[in-house]
Amino acid sequence: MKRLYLLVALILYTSACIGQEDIVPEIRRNVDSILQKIELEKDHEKRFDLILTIYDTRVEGYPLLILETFRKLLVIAKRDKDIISESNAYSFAGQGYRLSANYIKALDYHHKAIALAEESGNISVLAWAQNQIGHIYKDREENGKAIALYTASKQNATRGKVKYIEAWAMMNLAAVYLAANQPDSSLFYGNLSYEKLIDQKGFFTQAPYIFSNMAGAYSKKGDNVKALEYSHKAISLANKNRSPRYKGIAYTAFAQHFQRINQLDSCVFYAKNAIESVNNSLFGYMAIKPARLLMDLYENTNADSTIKYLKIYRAANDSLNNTRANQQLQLMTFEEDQRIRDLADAKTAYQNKIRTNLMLAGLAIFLVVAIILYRNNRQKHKANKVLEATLISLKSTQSQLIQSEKMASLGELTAGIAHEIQNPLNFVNNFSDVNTELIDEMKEEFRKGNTSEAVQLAEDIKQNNEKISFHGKRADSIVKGMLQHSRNSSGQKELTDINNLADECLRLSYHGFRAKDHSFNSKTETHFEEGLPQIQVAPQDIGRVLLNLITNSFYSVALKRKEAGEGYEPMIEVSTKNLGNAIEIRVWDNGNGVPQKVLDKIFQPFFTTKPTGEGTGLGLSMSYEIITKGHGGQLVVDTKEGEYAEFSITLPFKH
Amino acid sequence: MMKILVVDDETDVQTLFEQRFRREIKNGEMHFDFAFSGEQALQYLTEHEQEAVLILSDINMPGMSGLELLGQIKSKYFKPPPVVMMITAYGDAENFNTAKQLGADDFLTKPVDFTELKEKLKTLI
Repeated sequence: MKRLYLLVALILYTSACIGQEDIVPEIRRNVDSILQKIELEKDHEKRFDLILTIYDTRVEGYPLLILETFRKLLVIAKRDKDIISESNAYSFAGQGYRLSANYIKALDYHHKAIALAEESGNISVLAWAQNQIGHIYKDREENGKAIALYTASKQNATRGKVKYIEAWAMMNLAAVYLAANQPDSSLFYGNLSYEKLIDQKGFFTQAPYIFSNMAGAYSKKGDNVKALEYSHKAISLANKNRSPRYKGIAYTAFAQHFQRINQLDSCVFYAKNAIESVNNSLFGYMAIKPARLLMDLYENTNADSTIKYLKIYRAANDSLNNTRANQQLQLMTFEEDQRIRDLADAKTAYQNKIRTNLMLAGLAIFLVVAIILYRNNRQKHKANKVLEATLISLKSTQSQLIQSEKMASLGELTAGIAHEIQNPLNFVNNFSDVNTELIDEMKEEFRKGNTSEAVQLAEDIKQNNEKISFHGKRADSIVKGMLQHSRNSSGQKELTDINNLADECLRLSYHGFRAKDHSFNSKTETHFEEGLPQIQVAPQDIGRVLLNLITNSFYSVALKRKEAGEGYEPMIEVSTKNLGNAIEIRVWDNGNGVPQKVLDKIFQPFFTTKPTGEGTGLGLSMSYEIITKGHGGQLVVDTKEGEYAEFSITLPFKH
Repeated sequence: MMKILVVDDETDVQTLFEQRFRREIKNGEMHFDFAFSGEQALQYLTEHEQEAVLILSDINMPGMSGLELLGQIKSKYFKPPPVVMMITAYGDAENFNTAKQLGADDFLTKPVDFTELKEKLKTLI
């Protein structure tokens, strides 16, 4: 029997050593994969179920890993403002510090966990936090407090219908009742927790602990068979789990049992195994119990062994202290790391915040600029549309004004022209009447045989006929001139006799002006240079300019005549001159001239000195455009106020 | 013999009158003198005082107009004033009234109807 135990223990021990090295990364991987799922889960209540499965990963065998998990979960919880996860994170911290024997820090975190669990209003979370804080009192063998906490946890877990926590609370109650020397209660809860956990996923993780406690309870009750049975189960599963902690617990339980039944060899064997299990692990301090056991055993029989285990005990004690020291150092390092990480995180967060703010500010500025640009663009578009519409309407108004300017001057001219035609008609009608009479007389003379008389009459008839022809042409040219003026200019340039054009315009203007003001009279003179070359101009346009200038002159002299009275003799001169590469046309009058203050405005559109309704103010601006833009020439004014005005047109030509 | 002064800036008027009244001129019934501006007419009247009994004047002339001439003849120089008939292409009421105001004895519009003119001259004589 003894050998069998030894063999089993040896096999289990050997297998337990295999793969010890790579278990931490494996657990970390498992924990991380659960944390990833937690991160993805948006329902905070459901996260809790996932968090509990972390305890199935055997993470509890490695306090530093627990603290690592605490930090990771806290990040997620804080980021998502998830107080359930935050509470659980603190429970991890409490557990991590507890297993590192730092109870003060552990308690601090557990209290935080409970406060947040209460705040969350989730009783399952509260049940968990209560269960975890219970461990502190269990370890310190403050059994009353521990029982109260585990019981509360169990009740809340039952209400929250979380089988897991219910089972764990019971498992812990079993341990506490065992420590309190109440093996029946311990067994009761041990069995209950076993039943509840057996079909759960995390069963194998926690089972060694349940079995160890049950073995202890049976041992205390004196049931050797059951005690051994459960001890084996406990050791077997602890080895499978490669958990030094549970192995230590299980072997110690075994050793204690053999001490009770006085099988001291077995007791020594398992106590040694217990020491071996935790040796060189973070749980080295757990060697205290079995070392003390061995020390007591050898106290009276073997001084050497007593000394040996005293040394081991001391070493374990030292180890505990060392472990604690080491762990404290590690913890401090961890805390320092975390503090640095926190600082880095805070810095990163601050930088992120600044970056975010800067980006937001940049975005805001960009948006503002974009909006401004967009608005400007739209306004420009609108303005453009308005401007386009205005331009179109202005163009149409301009063409209407040009037409009305023409019609206005035409209207002035029409009356004069209509009457002007009467003069040639007077001659045409009367000379043809005379010719009829003369022909009758001529016939009479022929009949009488007075040939010389008849020839004389024929001579008269011919002379009269020439006059009829001359005055007929004169009427024709007057009508043509009028038509030309009224027509829309095509701007078509043709070879034009400037002297003829100027003369025609002078006559038209004169009669036109006379038609309006019969009492008015003015001397007109023309000084046309003989033999001017015909030049390429738009005759209607140039004609319009001349009519405009001459009519202005008439207006000016008429006005001065009214003011100055009889003593003033109005005079208008139109002259032409060949400048070699240009023809100059000058319109001179001795009227009032152009006042100096308006001299620079006279070529502007709509500028007029005439009373409202009498002038469009377009005459000179149109003239200026026709001469400069239309013909590449010049239109300049020379004037002395009150004495004269002279407008000179220069029209360049090519030979 | 009736002496008539015709005032008009159109020189062809002379030919026209001489042709139209050639019989009367031939017969010595009428004598025509011509002036081609208001100024010429006044000069003529000054030089040949009381010779012309009838003046036929155009209104629209460069320089002194027919109406000015009429005004001067009627108001200043000549006693008894000669008969003055105004001939104009502008047969509007304004012109007509002005001429009447200034003392015109008659008013004809162009083109001149010489049959009518002859009758008027006969009645005047």
